[in-house]
Amino acid sequence: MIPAAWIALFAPLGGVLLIALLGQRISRFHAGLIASGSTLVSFVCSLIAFLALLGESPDERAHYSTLWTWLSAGNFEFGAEILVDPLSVFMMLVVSGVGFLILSYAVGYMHGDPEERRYHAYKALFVFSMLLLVQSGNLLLLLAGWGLVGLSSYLLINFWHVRSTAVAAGKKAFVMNAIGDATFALALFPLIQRAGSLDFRVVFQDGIAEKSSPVAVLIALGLLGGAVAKSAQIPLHTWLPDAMEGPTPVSALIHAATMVTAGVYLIARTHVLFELAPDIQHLAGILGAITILVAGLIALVQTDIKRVIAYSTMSQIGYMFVAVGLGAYGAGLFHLMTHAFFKALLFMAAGIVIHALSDEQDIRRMGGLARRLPFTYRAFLVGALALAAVPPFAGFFSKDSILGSAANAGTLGWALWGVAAFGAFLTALYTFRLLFIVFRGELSAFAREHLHVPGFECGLAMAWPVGLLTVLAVVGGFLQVPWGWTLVDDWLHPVAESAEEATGVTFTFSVVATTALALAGIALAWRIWARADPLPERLRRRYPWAARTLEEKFYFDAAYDRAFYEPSARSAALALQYVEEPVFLRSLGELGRGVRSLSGRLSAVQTGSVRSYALALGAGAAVIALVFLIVS
Amino acid sequence: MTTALILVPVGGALWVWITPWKNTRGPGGLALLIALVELALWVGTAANFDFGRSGLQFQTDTVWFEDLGVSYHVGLQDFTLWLVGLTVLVSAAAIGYGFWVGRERPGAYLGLLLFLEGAVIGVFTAQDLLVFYVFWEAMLIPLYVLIGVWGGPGRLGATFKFVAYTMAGSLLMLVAIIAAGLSAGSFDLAEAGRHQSVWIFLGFAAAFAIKAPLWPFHGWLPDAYRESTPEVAGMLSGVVSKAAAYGFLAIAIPQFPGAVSDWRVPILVLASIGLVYGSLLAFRAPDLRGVIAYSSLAQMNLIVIGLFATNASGNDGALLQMVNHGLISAALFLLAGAVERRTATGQLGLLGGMARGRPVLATVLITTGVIALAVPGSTAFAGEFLILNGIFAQGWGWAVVGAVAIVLAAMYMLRLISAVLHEDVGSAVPVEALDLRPAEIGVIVPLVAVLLFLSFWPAVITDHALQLFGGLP
Repeated sequence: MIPAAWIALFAPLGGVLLIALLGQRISRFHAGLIASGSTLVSFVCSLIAFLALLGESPDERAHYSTLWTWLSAGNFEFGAEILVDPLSVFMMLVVSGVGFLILSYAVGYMHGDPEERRYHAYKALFVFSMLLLVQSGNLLLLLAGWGLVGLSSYLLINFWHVRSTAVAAGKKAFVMNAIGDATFALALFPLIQRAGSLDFRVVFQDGIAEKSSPVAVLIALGLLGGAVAKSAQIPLHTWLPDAMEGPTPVSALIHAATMVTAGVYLIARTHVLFELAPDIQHLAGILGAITILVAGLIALVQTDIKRVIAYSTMSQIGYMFVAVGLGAYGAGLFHLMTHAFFKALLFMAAGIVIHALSDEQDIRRMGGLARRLPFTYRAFLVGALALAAVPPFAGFFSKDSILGSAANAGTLGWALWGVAAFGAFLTALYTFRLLFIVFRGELSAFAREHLHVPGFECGLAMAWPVGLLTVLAVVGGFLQVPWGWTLVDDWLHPVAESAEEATGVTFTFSVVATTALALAGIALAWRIWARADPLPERLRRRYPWAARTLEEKFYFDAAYDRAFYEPSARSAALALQYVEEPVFLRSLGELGRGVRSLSGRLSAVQTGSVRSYALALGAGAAVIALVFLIVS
Repeated sequence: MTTALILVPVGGALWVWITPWKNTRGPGGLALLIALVELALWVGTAANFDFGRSGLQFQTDTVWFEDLGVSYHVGLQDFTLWLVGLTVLVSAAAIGYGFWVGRERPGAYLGLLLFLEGAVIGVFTAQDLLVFYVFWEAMLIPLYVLIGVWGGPGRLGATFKFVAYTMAGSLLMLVAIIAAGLSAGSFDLAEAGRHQSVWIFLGFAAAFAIKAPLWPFHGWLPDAYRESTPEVAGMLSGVVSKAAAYGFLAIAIPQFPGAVSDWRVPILVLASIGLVYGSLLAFRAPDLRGVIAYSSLAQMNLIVIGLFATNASGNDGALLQMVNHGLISAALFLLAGAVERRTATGQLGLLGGMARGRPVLATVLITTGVIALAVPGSTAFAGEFLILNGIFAQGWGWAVVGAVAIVLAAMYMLRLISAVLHEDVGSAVPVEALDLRPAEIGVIVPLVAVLLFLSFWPAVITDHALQLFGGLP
């Protein structure tokens, strides 16, 4: 099992090296095969590790392995160390499994791009980084994976680097994540001070900090900062919608299925530290709830097909944060998995639409595509039903696990439940708004002109991963069934004990209410957008400030520019203008001129040779040394 | 062995310089050969080095002036072995690059570079304070000439400032050395023991602070880095600045424990200001060299922060970061040279779009850039993490300042990468500008390859750091 885990980790890195070193000696297609093939190796190895763990009793399912000492200082060490346990294997399966499907899809999607090889290399680099993140056995290596996924995300967002919007989006994503990296790192220093190690086995011991003590709060807060930035939760969320500048398979893999959910993994992995600071853990849930609401509202007015899905990703991760914030780790990770299925599916279906419409992403130019792209339409519909949590699609089970847990978590739980239930309504509304606008009705004028459907909608390379994910989006939810079984909770139990879900009438109420809200959302979307109802226009005219607030995305971008970017740019300009230039650059120049003119006048004394200066220096030094000696 | 490491480049320098060359490529070929022999010599030394043993190895100790207690005493410790390795690698790259570009009067130019290499190795290996001073001066004098004769249009002003600053520092250090040696009765580092005098400490500290440079002693830096040739700038920021950090690490901090603990806070304040100040100016600098120069200022101040954390974590992190930053800034300056050769400018506003059709340039610049901004997982991250962890033990406020600077580093490095490589093709970028040539790849890629290797195994450096401080960090 341990060798399999190491192979799973390093196979994609080997793929990167192979693509980079072979360069133009292999075809672009083969570069794609190397990338997806190495991810398949990771998936098979993850399966082997999974089966090996399955054969053990639950208490024994934690295996650490260190290959070498990565970093040391004085007499303490950080190993290149992995951990194979139920949580890491769960994540490995999701990352490498969904990753393999998306990388295979990308071979078709990126076909013909002049820099395809670079693309596939970056993609494999991402899979390696993400596996490092979830497999690491200590917090330092986890942080390394954490940074490297951010790097590959940056490289892929600005993959089409001729577009200035893509370059700006890449920088924004990197810098916001660097803020999270910094708070993450700051959280590790007090741990090192207390434990002398960052090894999970040491750090998660009892008594690392007093419950709710300032240190415990700061540690949890630092980790939460990292999680919020990586998972695009409010207030560090503004990079994710812009990240849609990257190629669509990137959005599917990195900005939907895997990397952005790393924050949920982090909180579940370090739940011991969060439980020492319950207020901060609750804060994670509250931030998640706010994100559900804000992102859901913004998604209602977006006009770019990928941005709608991006806001929906933010809001779905909000659900996961609500879950882990309330200690329902199983439910949160269950939703992480089903979300990976249906959100990757939605992005990949959207990618087929974008391809068919000659790279158009504006939904106002789309319409009536269902009849021309029937396969894509069905796949998108399944993804939308799963996202809207309609039974029996995958999202229904996982979302109701989360809401059921919230209903059992006291006053705060009920407050978050209320937001999340309203979020379920919003989710159904914006999802089906998108679906109806894009696929229903008459074929739009733009589509009539530009629609270009090759033989079979998209080609087999792109079709089979979409088909497989469609199946997973239908059946993936049956791992955990209300009134039935809780396989995910049970599997993760040795790592983190999940909070109990509500039972009986409360739970029934939760399920029925949220399902009804979701169906109401779909019905409303049908009424408005399937029939081109003038209601949105009327609302917009009646409440222009509200429409504007939504379109300006609650003014977060403008506020951050004014609060952070502009002050730092201005202080840099001031430092240059009033300190560096006059004090350090010009003053000595004046001095130099002064000395030169003086030396011109004293040319009799000045001999101009370095030697005489050195002599003078030596003599002067000797005099000063003598003074020193006499004084002392 | 240690003496050979010093003598090969110094003797080679004379050979290259004195030989009356008829063939214009002759001096370059010979200089590069000597630099490579030196590199091989270092590899041999490292292979024979006993890492299990602490203390000096490959020593030479010959009495020089018996009355004064001066002896020619040189030797290698495990941590200086890495600094010497950095020096020979960066020097070989610089000499190879200078040879390939073809400078005026190549015999003198490359001879001076070799001499500089030998002098820096002398600084790292000297075990006697007067010998240290001799090498220190021998290191600075070739730089005066290299900047003043072969530099850009503003070289005279740049040289004047550089001389003025470093002369002042050297003078203070000489005074400090004489005072320290006479009061202790010996100039030997091992025998001298610990000093109590704050004034002697400040004499050393001033010289090192100027050369590093510590804020606000950096007035010479922007011009010197902008006006010198790329390979000299790479040597200056990559290697020579490390001699100053080495001075703190091996002399000022271990010899003056009392003064260090009194002066720690003021020095940390200056270094913290320098870290943020340098990062901000790097973000605003209009040209490639400016960004690299001010980011070097920031990095050197970060290293000083690590050194004055005075614990194992800060100390080991500073050593690792010295090696990292040496490789990073040398690679960046050579890349800047490669860009400037193609476009005849370093102004970021005139550059852009160079990634298209130039995959090697793009890959090497991005790789170096993201290591420079210390992306988690890179060796620069490992170094900065240890430094900040070390300084955290002195007070969490310092670590927060460092964390802010990490975010700023991402901002200025990404700005540099995109300004050169991305978006529309800049007005100064000719369509026919080539990708990196094999010679450029040959000098730059080895530096980057070592950085990548260190990213897999930074402990190879930190396992062999100077053990000044025991216990948990």
